[in-house]
Amino acid sequence: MTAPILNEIQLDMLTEIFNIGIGQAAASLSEMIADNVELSVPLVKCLPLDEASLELAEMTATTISAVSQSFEGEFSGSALLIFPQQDSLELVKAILGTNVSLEQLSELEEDALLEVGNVILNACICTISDMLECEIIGEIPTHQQGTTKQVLSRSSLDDTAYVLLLSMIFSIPHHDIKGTISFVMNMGALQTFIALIDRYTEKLLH
Amino acid sequence: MTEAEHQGYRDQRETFSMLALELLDSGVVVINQSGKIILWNQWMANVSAISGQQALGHDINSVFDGKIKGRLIQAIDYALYKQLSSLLSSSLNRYTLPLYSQPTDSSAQPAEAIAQSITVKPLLNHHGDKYCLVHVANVTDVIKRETLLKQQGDDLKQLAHDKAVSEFRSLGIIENSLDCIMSFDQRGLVQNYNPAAAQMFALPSQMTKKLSFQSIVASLNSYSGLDIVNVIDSLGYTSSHVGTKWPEAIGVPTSGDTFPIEIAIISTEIDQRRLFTAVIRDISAQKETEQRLTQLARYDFLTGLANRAYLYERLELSISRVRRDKHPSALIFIDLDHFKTVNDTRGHSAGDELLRHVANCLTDVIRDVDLAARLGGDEFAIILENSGGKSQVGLAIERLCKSLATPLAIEGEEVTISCSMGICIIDETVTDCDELIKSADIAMYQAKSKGRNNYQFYSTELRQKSEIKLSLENALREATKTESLHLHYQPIVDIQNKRLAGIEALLRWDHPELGSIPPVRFIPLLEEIGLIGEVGEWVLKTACTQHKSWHDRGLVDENCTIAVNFSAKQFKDIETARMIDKILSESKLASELLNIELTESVLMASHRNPGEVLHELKKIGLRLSIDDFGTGYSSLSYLRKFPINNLKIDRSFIEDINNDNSTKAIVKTIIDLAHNLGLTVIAEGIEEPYALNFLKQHGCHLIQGYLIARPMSIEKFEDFCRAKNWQLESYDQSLLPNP
Repeated sequence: MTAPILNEIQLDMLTEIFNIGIGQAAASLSEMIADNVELSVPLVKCLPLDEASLELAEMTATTISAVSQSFEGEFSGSALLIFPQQDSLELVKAILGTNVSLEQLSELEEDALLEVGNVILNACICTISDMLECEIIGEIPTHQQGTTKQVLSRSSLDDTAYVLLLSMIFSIPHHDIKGTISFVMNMGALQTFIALIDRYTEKLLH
Repeated sequence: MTEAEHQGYRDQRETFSMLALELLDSGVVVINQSGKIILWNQWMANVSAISGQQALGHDINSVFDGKIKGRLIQAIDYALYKQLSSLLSSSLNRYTLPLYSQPTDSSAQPAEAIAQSITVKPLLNHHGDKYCLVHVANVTDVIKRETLLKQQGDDLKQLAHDKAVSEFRSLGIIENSLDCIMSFDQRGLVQNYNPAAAQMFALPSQMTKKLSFQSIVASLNSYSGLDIVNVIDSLGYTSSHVGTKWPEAIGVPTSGDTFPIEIAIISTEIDQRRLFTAVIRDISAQKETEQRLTQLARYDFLTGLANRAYLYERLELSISRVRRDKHPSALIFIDLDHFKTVNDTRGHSAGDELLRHVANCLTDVIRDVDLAARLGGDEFAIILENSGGKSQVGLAIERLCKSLATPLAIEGEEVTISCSMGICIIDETVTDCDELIKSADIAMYQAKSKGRNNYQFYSTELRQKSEIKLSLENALREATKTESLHLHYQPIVDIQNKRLAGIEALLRWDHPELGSIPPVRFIPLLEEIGLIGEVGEWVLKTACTQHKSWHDRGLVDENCTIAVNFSAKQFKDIETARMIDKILSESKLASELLNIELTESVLMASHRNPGEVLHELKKIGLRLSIDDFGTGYSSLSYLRKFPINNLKIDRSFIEDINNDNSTKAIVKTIIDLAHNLGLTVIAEGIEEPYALNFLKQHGCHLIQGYLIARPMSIEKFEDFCRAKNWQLESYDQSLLPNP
């Protein structure tokens, strides 16, 4: 299957939509930690799953801690909130404040991450589905740990196929936290996604 | 399946579903698009104390009086309007519903809040209507279990950590200790030992065969491990953690020499078994130091001989040994004669060299079992063990004297030494060390008083003598105060002119217990104890005063003299002359009436200058007599040198006049000599009339002796004077002049 080509307009639009979606997520996160969240320029790529994991690894770390929320509907895929493993605890600490002891933190780590991931990813998905006026059903998020490759393979992705990788780095400078928010989608779903983007573009231009 | 069947199943499912929901052990709430509760299962009713009737048709937040946190509301919105699922975790309590384990009603105190895990999911029915499903799971137990597991995990971690630490510590300490650390069981079977132990006892680094603790240690005084075994046995009956210490024992390695050790053993209980741990320290170095200290404490630094303390120790041992095996030993005290002179004239380094030489002589003469000691100054002692009797000891002493008599060169000059020795035989009757030492001392002093350079054996008579001497000394001291010392007076009669020519004052001592003690015994004592000067002065004073009194009272005629004896010791220096002068002026006796009687030895003493003193005395105007003339160092030259007035012929000549012609000749010659030199001659010790006649015949008219009168007390003498009782009737009538 040849990689479907996204034209420039489509690419632009996709990037824009993603930007807005992530922006919402970032806003939620920012509220939670009462601090600024900085975002990088989004990355949009179409590549095989292996390479996608490599890309993600480059952007974050080899061993990661991730919150993964699958969604389906008019297009399917996974939304991922990925941190280097050591940073995830920092995030929890940032959210819960300094009153929590280290022991409690590690207990709460998984749960807290899930919640945070849940909020952020929901915000993201929500925004995108709103803009594209499509129905997506999001699952309960799960917590994953391991290499990027392992994490991605556990999500509902076809490992032989190409994926669409949309990714943005966010960082919380005062807490020394860096992570990515990513969307990974099967190519099969891409056609629908592209169609939706076209529709959105048309609406926007008229 | 037919449509009717499908429907039938659907109905059944629906009914069953409803039932199932009510029976679930978790909460199910369904909220419609308007946000109203359309399903509130039994579990929710139980834990919230809000019945289905109260909840149905209401907003969830209003049902809980506005207590629901925003997060849940948002999640419900997301589900209803965005089709997104949410997870509200159990740990973050902010996001739970107010649910309790045993609520009776909403107003009562709740028992325990439930930890919840809430998921919110979008729900679409087959018509496409949107609903929201809220599922509440009770995860309290899970959390409790998790907490418990975590605690257990922590405990295990701590235990592992502690064990590791203690292992590490003990491993470090035990492995690296320089002391031997060994553990053994109740039977003495060694369980474990550290590298130090392996090295100390020549054991393999890993224990390969059975080893018994008793085989590698021994008690100090026996060469078996018995004592230690006993202690191990008794340790078994004591409580745990009790320890025992041996300050001294012997370590017996599997190969090599034994060595002194210090052991501490402690017993502990592990798993109801008795285990003993021994810590063993090699104290060889310590023992060596102890020995050196003992050495220092026992030996004299200068000579290397034993010191006084060590001598005493050995004497005690000797005494007990002799009492056991009856083979006598001997204690010899040695005092160097005139050591002080060497020290004073040659200096201390010469003196030290001399002492070292003497020490060497001693050590050469004695055997290994004997002991030579330096008591201090110039005093030495020898213990001869198993010395045999007096004769054998005498031989040893002869050898010693010979060795000491060899002249030696000290700092270039030759020195000859002699010593005084006192010996006391240690036999089974000797019990007291101090007594023994006293005896040897007495013997040595006897040797000294016998003129030095000799040796004396102690005997009981010696002790008696010394005791008597001691008491006499004390009494003499008292006598000068109590007048038990007094003067007797003996007349010197002029048979020619029938008058009392002179009186000799003689010192007498009446001892309260021993009676009258002759001067020949107590004068030397006075000299020895240094009272001679004081007593001499007193004698002179008393005699002069008495004689003056007699003169004043007319009991004696104006030319009668008084004679007082002076010994060599009293003629120390010119002070003597001054003293005599003073007494004469105090007593107001005319100086020419005083006669000082001196023995020949006074004139001969080499270290004085009697000539000077005598001339001084002559200046005063008194008279000088030579006592015991003919017996001492009779050098006639002094008759020229010294200003003598009288000669007294010694009684030994007078006694033999009867028997011996040569004696007669000598006496005759003395009389002639005296007359030729213009000296007065007096004969002493006349007891027989024959002697008297002979003397008169040859021109000696002054007589003193028992024939005339014995020395008398004042009263008797005064009577004698008054009676003018010259005993002339007993003389040969033929010699008497015609009345």
